[in-house]
Amino acid sequence: MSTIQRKEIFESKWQAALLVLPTLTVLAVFLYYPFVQTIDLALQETQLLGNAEYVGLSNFEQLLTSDRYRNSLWVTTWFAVLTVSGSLLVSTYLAFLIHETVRGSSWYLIAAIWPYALPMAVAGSILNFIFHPELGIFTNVLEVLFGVSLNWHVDGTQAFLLVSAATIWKGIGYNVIFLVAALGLVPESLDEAAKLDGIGRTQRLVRIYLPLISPTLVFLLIINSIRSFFGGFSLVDIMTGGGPNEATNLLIFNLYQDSFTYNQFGLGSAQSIVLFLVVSVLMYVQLKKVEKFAYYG
Amino acid sequence: MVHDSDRLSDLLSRRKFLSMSGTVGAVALAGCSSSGDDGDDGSTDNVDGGGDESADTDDTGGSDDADDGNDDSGNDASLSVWYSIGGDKGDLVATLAEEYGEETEGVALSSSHEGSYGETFDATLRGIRNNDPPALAHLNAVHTVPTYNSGSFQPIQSIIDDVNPDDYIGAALDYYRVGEDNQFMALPFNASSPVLMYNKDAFEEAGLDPEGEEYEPTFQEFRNVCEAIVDDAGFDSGATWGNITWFVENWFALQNQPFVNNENGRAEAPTEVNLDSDAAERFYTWWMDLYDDDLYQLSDSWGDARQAFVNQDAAMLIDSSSNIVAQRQAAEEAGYEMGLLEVPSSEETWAGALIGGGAMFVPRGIDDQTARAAGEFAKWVASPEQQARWHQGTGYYPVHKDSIEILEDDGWFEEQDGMRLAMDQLLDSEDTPATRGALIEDHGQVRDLLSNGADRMFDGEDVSSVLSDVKSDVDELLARSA
Repeated sequence: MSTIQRKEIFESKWQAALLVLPTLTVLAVFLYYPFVQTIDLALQETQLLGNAEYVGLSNFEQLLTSDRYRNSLWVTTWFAVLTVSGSLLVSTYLAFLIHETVRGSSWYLIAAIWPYALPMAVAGSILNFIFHPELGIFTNVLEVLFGVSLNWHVDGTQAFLLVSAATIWKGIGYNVIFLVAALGLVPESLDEAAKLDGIGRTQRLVRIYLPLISPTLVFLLIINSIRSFFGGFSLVDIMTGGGPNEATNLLIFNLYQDSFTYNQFGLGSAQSIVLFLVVSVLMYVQLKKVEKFAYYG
Repeated sequence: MVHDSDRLSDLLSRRKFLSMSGTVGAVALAGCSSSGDDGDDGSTDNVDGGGDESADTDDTGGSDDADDGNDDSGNDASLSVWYSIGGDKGDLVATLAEEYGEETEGVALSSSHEGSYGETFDATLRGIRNNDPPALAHLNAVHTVPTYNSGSFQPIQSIIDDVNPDDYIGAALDYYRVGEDNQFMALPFNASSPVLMYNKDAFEEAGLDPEGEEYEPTFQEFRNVCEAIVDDAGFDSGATWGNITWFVENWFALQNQPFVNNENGRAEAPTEVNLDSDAAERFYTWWMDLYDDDLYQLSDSWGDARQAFVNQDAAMLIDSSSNIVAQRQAAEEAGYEMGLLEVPSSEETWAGALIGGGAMFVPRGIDDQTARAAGEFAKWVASPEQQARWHQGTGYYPVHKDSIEILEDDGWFEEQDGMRLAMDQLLDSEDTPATRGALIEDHGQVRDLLSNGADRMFDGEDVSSVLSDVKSDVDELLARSA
């Protein structure tokens, strides 16, 4: 790299600055300024009409001592672990199957991507009907065939598992696109050699493909983790409203509820800072630690 | 390989960006639609602090402008009305507004549906913050305290000082009285209370009197009826209603037990919720016993409960009176006849039903002429004729006493079986702190804490221990906002 000559594209630094200005302005107005304002708000107790007083770190103190918030942290952690691992496992296996399929693989690909194309709000409403404890089609089939009765309007664990499963299902399409692409980049000769040596399908997936697509897996791990913290909102809002008894009260939903339904903007801002910190630390750790397992050739 | 995958990830990050913005969009959408279909939803409604709104926001964002052609006359008071009722009932509100705009000179009226009660309240607050409030905001009963405490709303009584409070049905108006001088903050527009709807055909099959004349509105009798319906009429369950705290508060009122202390928050800001009272214990135990014995079907929302009643999974439904007309029609389409009865209470007392619904609030920050025009419109929609019409179209009680006469002359009560009984439930209510309903700053949040508590009971936790947990959470919240 060092041998390549750096070429000055712009005649002056001012010209360069001028050209990045539009982007910077957008970022400043829509990202940095609100971020600073959020920090400022987090230190205040806000009244209904926005008149506020500075209360130092008392919002954070209230969060740390709140059972509701601690429960929400706990729920979100489990949600992240479950959806990220579940989603990666399922989509890797699906992508591998699609990759291995000789005929009609593009149809399978489309089928796998389809759920991703569905807006979250729509998916949530449909799932609500299908899995409705009393009226749902799926619930009815489960009950008739297996004698299992779904009761997730009451049972917190069931509600949590249902929302998690729906999130996994919803995320498959996105992951599969990347994984199929990554699998396609693995040289066929490697696969052929393994096949000639009589290596089974699972072994080929684990020993040959997974190491070679590890950069994509790391990328997906990070994206999926971010999503699990910020993205569960729609399904929770539509399907469970955080219930029953806060069993699906994700941090992002709790934040929304405190800020916008209970009009506690200070407390909500404090939560968004906590969420930001949690995700930042998680990203840092993942990038530093997990990256080592990725094989870049 | 390396090179390729680098390029791939470049491409990916762009895609990622796109998809992330897509997700943000979806989240925004979800925000809108959650109060759409689920507008009836108990939890959503609790969150919104709405008492009993139903068929709420099918047409969110629909704005019904009635100010066409009036803008040119410069002297008109421009009157913007934001309301919280959607669906067919919302259309009726828009029609009323339009008619008023047309027949009133000097007023350019525009009305818009801002979503649920909670959403309209938020929108109004934003308007106040930006110095552009509506002239009239249609909000829920539970917004009485927040509007008063914020200091950004003017008590409507001070604007329409020529009205005689005695003209209005006491139970409907008194909820909105607040503060030292006991002025009413808002003029009620749509008043409702919980009623018991039942399937007459099911009663007949169960060997009960289909006209319900032998029915006594007590907890024990209600249980007996449920048992008969399940055992003899072959229903899955006897009754259903949503886990909605407004109903729970009604059961406090029925038993003449204030929901919170300090005279239900009317003497001064409440500091304790009365979940440790006998009334609370009696009601919750009865409710959970019904559930445990499969006599009661738990519904997650208003809509779920109505569906179960229409599907004839349950033969009785506790719902808002505002839904009587729509529900009766649904029952007819489903092929059975629906009747109305009183919501059961404990044997000891019957004090009266709790009011819910909405009223017209006037923000500050508008000029006097507009405020007066707003008051006039609020008076007009609460007038005997309009209230009679509104009642017939929805089931909401008329708030004006003279409406009853109009309805009687019209033969309405003979035609609408049971409606009289529902009305009487309200007219016969004693005026006590318990029946006036609670005044709480964070009413919506309190309701959520209670419905979460009920969830825990349904999940098998002990009634008394959940009640004492919830009490301490609510008390903590009350202390914070006091």
